[in-house]
Amino acid sequence: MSAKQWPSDWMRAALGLCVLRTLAAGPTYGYAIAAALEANGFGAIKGGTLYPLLTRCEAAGWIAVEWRVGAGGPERKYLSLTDAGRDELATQTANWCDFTGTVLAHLDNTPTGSTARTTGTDKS
Amino acid sequence: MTTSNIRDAHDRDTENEKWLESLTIELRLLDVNGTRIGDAVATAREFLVDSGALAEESFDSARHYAAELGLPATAGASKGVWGATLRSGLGLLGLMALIEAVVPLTHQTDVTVGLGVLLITVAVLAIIAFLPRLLSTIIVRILSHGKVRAFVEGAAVGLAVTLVFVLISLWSVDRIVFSVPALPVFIVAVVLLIAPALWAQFQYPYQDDPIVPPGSASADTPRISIGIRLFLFATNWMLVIGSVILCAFVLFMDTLAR
Repeated sequence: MSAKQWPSDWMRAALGLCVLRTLAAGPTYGYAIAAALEANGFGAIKGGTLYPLLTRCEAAGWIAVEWRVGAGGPERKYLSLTDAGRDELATQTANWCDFTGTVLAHLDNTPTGSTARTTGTDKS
Repeated sequence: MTTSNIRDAHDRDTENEKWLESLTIELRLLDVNGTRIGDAVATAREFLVDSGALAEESFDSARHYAAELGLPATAGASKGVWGATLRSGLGLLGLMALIEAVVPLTHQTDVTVGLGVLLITVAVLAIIAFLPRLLSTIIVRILSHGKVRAFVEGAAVGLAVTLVFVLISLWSVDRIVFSVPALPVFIVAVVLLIAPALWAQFQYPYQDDPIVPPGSASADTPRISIGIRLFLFATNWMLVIGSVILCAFVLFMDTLAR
């Protein structure tokens, strides 16, 4: 069974936060992040989506980069959360919970007749 | 592997290496420095090896991905391109003036400047001014169409431009705009030819910006070879060398004509 693909707008909004969350578990590398996100139901994450995001996080100082060099040359680029990244993750997580709570509350709210009429009769 | 027709890992690796080469060039065209390019290329290569994917499928086109990365450009890089354009323009102006002045100087007559020479000079300077804007398109064309086709296309454009210049020269053969003494023109031409080359030689020594693979210090990377240094030296002084050869040719033709 193929993994569910979420609308790209939703992915764009949530991916940065979810990447930071993945890195909270400890230093890891690009493909492992993509694989972890796929395993958690986000669908296949392309390199062309992931790395520009990681570059922006690095530029913002949320991610530290370390190349771990092997005997035969460079092996893997390991990424880890900085203290600023951990703070950002906490802030963004709290904001995201507020936002999704607001969305859910709105979706669960049974529309009243007057609300529906107000939205439908705007051009009086 | 996903929907691709590439069947085996060898073909995929070859395709991916070509894509990584294109990425290097696209990042160079964006004036990203060699260390950052080395990091970006190694990162993409690592992901491709891990995922077994085709670069084009995983990263989209090299040009798109290079732009998406948003890596900062080296400070002053665009200034360098425009400086080189200015130097080339001045040098070429000197070359054209020298060729016009060398025969009148030997006969101690005035240099007569025709309408055709003026039009061609303006056209050549305009072409040089637009060259930096066209450079990325030319390089991408060479990459996508192959060197042979790009050479044929370049030769065709060169031939067409030369033909236009010849037609202008024939049309304006008797249309003299002004005449000036040969010696001042010769001196100005020599200064215009030599000054930009000297300026480039001392102001911009052969600064290489090698692609530094991650994990290796900048000092570990191979330095620019003597052969490449000689090539860069020859390129810098190409107009001066060319003008000496052309002047000799013009004088030889003048001797034959008399």
